[in-house]
Amino acid sequence: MKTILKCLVTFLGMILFVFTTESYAQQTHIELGLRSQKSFGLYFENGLVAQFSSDSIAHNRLRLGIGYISSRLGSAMGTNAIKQDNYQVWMSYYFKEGHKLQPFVSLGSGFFRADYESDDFAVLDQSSLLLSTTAGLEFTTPFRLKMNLALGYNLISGNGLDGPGTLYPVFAQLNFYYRLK
Amino acid sequence: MKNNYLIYSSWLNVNLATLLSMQRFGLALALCLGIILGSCGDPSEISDDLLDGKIIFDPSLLSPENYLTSLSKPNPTSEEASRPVFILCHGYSASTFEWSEFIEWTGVTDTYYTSSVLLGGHGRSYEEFKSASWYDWQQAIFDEYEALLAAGYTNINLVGSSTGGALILEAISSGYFKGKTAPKHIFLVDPIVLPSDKILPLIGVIGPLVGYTEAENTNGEKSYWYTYLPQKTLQELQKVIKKVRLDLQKGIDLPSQTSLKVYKSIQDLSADPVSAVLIYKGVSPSNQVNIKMVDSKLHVFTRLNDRVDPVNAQDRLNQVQTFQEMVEIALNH
Repeated sequence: MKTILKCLVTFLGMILFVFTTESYAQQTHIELGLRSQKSFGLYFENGLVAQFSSDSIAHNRLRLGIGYISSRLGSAMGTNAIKQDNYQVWMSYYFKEGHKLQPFVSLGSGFFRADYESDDFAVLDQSSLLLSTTAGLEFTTPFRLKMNLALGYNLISGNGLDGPGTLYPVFAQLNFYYRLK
Repeated sequence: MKNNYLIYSSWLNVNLATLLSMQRFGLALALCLGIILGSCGDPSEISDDLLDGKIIFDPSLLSPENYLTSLSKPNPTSEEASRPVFILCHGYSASTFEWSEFIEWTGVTDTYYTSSVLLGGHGRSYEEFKSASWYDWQQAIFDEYEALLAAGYTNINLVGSSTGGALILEAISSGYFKGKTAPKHIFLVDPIVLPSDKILPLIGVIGPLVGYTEAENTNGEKSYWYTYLPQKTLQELQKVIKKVRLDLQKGIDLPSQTSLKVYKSIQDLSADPVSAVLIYKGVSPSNQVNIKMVDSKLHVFTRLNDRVDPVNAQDRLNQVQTFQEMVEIALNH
């Protein structure tokens, strides 16, 4: 699993390098935001996200995102819910560029880890690779603020035999982005 | 006919083309609704060799005195009343058969008693199963618990498998035992808090489209487990396990004299093993809670008869060890 995580970080670094290099010639856009994710049947997980895009790559339609969301900032705050962390990377494609309401699709990956807080549960899977698809709608306000709502599906989830039992397949996301540049 | 459209279009202040397209949309909507409503029925035919049919019932309905200690021994002496009684609670869509191996293993003994409870709505016809709520399922446990208390029994132990475990946890969290003699020990075998099938939380959306699902039971199981599972009962299952999960999230306090022992298979296609983690984190005080992860791939690993998969030596060992431990704890602690 550590190897997978290293590969993901390397991959992300390479893409960020491309975006950064590209910014010398073309306008690069950076958006910072907040994400609230709810698995159908389980927890709220909240956290921070960032998206990068460039005018020169697919005319700003392609966006690379990174994020960290956790139940520590959601359902597990002050409760007995399991503390779990999601380190996410994704690539989104936006349709109808320039419109106020933009449909988009994403392919995501990352790393999931749950903390069971006892060695009694060492036999159970506590971490997993993330692989997901999402589709949604983004609304652009007259300000620099964007808001989008998406439905997603985790292609890898717990099933009682393999995978962490708190990694659920169907989820909804609410994202707020503020454009820095 | 066209004149009518003209009248309607002027009345609704829309043009004729719009009205016709609205009519087409309405027809499409009616067709979709028709398909949905048509598909949400019940099985067209239920064979009489199934528990779901109208001939096979759980035997505890015919002779409850053979299953319930409150009926077989309604007037215990003070010494008998202090002996442990195990109230055995089966899971969703099952019947008293689920705990029959514990009763067989017990054999003839007077050191403790067993009450094998048939959950409400279970062990009867498909229609009766469909019409019962999870409150009805749970009420049968309460009825026997109260009957034993009324008879004078003081050493009551609750044993719940799968959904039976969830119903017992719900009883604690809802304060059912407050003001009553609390159970001495609670034993949960593969309790379900999170389902392994992660689509179950969507049953409220997809359930009405499918009507019912069909379980893959062995020939032996068909007389003791429902084959057809109405989506309404799956919604009830989802309601009760969701409630228990949220109660655990807030915290469930055990009665001060009650201990909780949880046995959980490390691989389980019905109750996700992480259910044990949620119970461990959610029930307090922690010194009264003990969790044992069991090396098994079976859901309710204490029931071995009529399984689809072959049962191995480890499964038999798990079963006997668990039975022995439950009895030993109830007799000596």
